[in-house]
Amino acid sequence: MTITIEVSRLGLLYDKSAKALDDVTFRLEGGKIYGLLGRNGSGKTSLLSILASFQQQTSGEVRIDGEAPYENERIVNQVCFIQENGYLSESFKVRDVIKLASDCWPNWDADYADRLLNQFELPAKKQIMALSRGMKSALGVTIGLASRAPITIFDEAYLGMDAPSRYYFYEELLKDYMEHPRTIILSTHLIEEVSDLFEEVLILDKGKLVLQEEADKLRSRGSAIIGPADAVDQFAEGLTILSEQKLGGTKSITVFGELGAEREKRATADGLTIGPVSLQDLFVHLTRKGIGSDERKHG
Amino acid sequence: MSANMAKGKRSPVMKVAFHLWSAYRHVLVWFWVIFTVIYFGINEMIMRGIIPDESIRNSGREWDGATISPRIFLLVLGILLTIGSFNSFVSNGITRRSFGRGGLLFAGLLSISCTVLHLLGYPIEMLIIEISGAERSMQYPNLAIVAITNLLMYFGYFCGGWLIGTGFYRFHWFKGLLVCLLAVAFLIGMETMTATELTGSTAADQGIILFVLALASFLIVWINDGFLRKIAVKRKITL
Repeated sequence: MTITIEVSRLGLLYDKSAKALDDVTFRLEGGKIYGLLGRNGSGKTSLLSILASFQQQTSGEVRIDGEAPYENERIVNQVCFIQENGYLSESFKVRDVIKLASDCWPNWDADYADRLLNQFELPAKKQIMALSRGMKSALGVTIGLASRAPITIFDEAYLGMDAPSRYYFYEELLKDYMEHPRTIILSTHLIEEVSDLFEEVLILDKGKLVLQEEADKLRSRGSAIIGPADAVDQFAEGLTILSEQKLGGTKSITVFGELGAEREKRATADGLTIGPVSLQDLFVHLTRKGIGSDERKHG
Repeated sequence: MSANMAKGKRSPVMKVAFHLWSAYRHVLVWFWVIFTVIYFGINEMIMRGIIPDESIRNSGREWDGATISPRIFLLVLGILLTIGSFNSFVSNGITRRSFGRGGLLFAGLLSISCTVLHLLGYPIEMLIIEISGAERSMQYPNLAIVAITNLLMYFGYFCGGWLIGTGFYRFHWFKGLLVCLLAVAFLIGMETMTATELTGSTAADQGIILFVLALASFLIVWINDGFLRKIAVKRKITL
């Protein structure tokens, strides 16, 4: 079951004047993995908490499966929002949290939840307050995955987990998504680790949506060029350079913007190597101070 | 029908009430066991003169006054309801309306339980007196009136506490304090009404008192429900 999310001119004010979200509009088709990226304070959590009906927007409209989600009994149990150290009752035991979740999420898979609990070595009888940060994160992602909610949102939910647990989570997420297609939104600062999962990327900056694009298309807007320093410098004239590194006579630069067939031919002739750019480099460039909105949207 | 199917068919309101009851029923039982033992223990010591207190010694109706601690206990449970459970339910796909109604059902269950447990105290008291061989004139009140009054008071105290908790959860400390004062005003009003000697008053008086108690509880519930509907899920309370 896949559900479409439509957001139109969404705004959220904090303290009556500070804008957490400003005129955000987008549409997310169901059955994809989305990456929501943004710097600290860019409005990611505010946006996601509105989608999950954790709070109401100040202006604009949200439609999930065609209906406003806030206090909508049909929609709220279709959207599972997981945050690190999120909303687990500290006095509850792990088994109580799982029991409540199993009772509330209509598509809950109890066997899958048990398997994940075993994998993450979560003790059922332990109270939440006695769990380590990593264990709390693991419990959160267990609920998110086992809920099988048509819209599942992970907001930095796996930050507290150690690297092996995080990679296990990424593998499990992809595997379960393939078996049970649904909309998954991942909001993270660990872009390098999860960028391969993204099918589409949204970037928020200062409460505004600065980009929504397919991940592969976004990656194609940047290139890494490696070769003799002089040749690289000549080639880079007129291009937006994101970063550069020099080692002896060899230079490596990262550029933003499509190169075009002619430039690519010239690079080969000059003995330069062209490679892909990481999503993280592009993200850093797009959210750096002073980058105009026109460049963000059109490259 | 399998257990899972039964779970799935339970309404969100029933889910909230069920999980709250599961979480707090043991606390309720332990409270009453400890409270009863301490209460009768202290009273027995007073009756035997170990603790000198003539007023209680001469009253002959100790158990009547045994509702103050349970009321405070329910007030505290009420304060903790929104603070401790709202996040868990709403983040698991329960609407605020269902949380409010489920909480109300839970409040009703707690109040009925406390009322029944309090009524059970009368025969226990009688038994203790018989066993101890003490001579006391027991003048029991109209138990039906006592039961209804206590039920409304327990319910009012729990919902009053719930309103206080919701106020501090939703608002900043100053507005939270104002909501707290409002709840306390309701509870003082209810206490003032019950200060009338029920056994000695007329049926009309009793009816008016019970009506006012019910009305006060209804108003507390109504205000609390209004606050709950617009509440944002918070990670922790900001004071």
